[in-house]
Amino acid sequence: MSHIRIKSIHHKLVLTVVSIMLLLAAVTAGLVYYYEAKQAHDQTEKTLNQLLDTVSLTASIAAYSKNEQIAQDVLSGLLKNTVVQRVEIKSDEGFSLSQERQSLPIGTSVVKNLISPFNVGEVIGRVSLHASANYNREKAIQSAIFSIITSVSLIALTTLIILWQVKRQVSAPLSYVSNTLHAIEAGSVKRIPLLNSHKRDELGRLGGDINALLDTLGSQFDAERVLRKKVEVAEQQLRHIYNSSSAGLFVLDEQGELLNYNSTFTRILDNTEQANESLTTNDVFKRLLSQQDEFAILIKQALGSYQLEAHDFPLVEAGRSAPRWMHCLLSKMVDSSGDIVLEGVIFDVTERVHNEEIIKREAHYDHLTGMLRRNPAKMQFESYITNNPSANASFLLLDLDGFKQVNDIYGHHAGDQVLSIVAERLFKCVRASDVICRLGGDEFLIILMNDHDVNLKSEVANKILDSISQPISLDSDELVSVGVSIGMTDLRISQSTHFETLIKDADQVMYEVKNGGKNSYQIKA
Amino acid sequence: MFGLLVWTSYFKPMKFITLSLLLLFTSPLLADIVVIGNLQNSNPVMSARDVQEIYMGRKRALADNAIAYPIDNSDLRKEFYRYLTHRPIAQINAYWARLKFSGHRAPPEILLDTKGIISKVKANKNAIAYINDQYVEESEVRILFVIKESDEPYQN
Repeated sequence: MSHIRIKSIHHKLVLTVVSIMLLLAAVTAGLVYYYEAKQAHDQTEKTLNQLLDTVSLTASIAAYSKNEQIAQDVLSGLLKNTVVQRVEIKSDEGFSLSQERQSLPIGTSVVKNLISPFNVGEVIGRVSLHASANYNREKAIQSAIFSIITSVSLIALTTLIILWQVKRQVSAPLSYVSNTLHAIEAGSVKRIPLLNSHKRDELGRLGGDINALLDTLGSQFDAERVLRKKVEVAEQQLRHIYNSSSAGLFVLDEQGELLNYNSTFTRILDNTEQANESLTTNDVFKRLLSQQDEFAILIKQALGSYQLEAHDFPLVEAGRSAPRWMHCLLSKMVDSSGDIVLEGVIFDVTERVHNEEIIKREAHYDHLTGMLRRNPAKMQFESYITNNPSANASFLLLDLDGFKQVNDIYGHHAGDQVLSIVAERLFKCVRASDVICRLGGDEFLIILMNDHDVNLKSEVANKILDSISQPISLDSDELVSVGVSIGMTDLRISQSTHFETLIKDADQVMYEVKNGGKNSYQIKA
Repeated sequence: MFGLLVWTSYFKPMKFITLSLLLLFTSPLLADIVVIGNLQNSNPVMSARDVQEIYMGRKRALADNAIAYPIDNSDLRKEFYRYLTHRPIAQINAYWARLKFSGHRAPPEILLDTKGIISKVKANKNAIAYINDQYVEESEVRILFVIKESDEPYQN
């Protein structure tokens, strides 16, 4: 409730009414003065005309006979009337006379032609009568003053009666209602007492309506209080769920800016950068994810669809060799204010991804040599050829010479040791992009990817022959030696991209080497 | 005819007055009235307006600046003034009464017999009078203006 000092409605009313009353009185006086001045003028003119009519015959005779004595008599006669200020009489062929009371300003004037008494219509002179200007004005002022006194007294009396009645019947009860209502606090049980004399009029209804509104307001206050309490509890529960969730929950805007997140989200991210305390969660999030092109793509996908989009991301952290993995789900939502936001969930799936990696590794790689198995090698080759249709690749099929003897003499364990060392040496002879595969037993396949150099096969084969022929020291400190027979072909020579065909061709050449003295290489003709 | 009756009634008034009045009203015949002046009066012939102004006192002088001396003929006065001013004798008398009161002007002298009028005109060079046309002798007086008995009253 405001405490501004309010002006009484009744005082304002009195002020307004009195001002209007004075204005009205002034206007009335002005109108009366104007009207009376006009009336006085007309009246004077009428009087002057009547005077002229009275003397016109005598004046005509004076003018006709050019008799100044009669004319002077007429003038003095006219001047005896108080209205008349100045008189002139003129005979066209004779005299021109005038008489004047005082030298005062002239108001109304009347002129009359003198007609010959014997010749009808012949003008023989003129009489003019002038009334004093003051005469009209005084008459008008007197009338105006009288009218002002009358109207002001009437209006004032009426105004006083009306104001008194308005105060008694409207202003005072209204002030009472207003002041009472002003003192009532919202939601309190106080109400406006009903006025006995206004039970059946608008004021009574106003009081009743205000009380009804206050009742409604009070019950709404209570209902809202209860509701707010409920909402608070529900909100706390939801917040608890949100914060204690094992998933990291967050909200992004369309530009990928972090708007909101729970404590799990912070915990997951903070694990990655615990050393750097000065960075906020937002900074960390942005730095980690802004490096990820896939994340930008995921945001785009989520904005473009109404489905849940999911992707796994590695979080590369300083001082840790293996990345941690995050599984991230994003979905587009429209929030309460109509803006588009992205709701996201992240889980730390490092453990799971790690296990998957192990399983994948066991499925794809030979445990002993760390080489690819046959099928994964085939898939890698086929995917390479699909992506690079014009590229060439060389197939080197290797078979160890003298491995069976080592196995027979020194046992399987020694055999495994030889295979492991041979594998290490082979890895050193090729580029990282080349494929090395253990086809089985002591048989290996090397695929030289993107081999456009005609001499590369021979160079690699020579390197391999040289590397494998070096003595191998076993765990039992004994030295053994093995050789290798290499059959080679490439896509151009075999005129095929078929994996099995290429292996078959290389295999044939390899047998030719075996039959021709071993420990050498040969290229398919 | 009218002139003759007036003339007779003039000489035997008591005896003929009834007859003359009777004749006056039964017979509309009226004689012409002639305005005459002295033979020596050398002014041009007068207009009806000139005659009116001289007789009503608006003008005193004749064309030659001599002060005119108008004479009224008691026999023809009523007709004469009716012709000149369109007014009855009573009003003419009232008019002169006002002028006389102011002390400035006197009305024309009224003479009763035509002979006396003619001799006065013959004797006064500036005299002007009016008489019945049958008494006019052009060797004695000069004719200044003629009012025919059929003339409507003068109206300027």
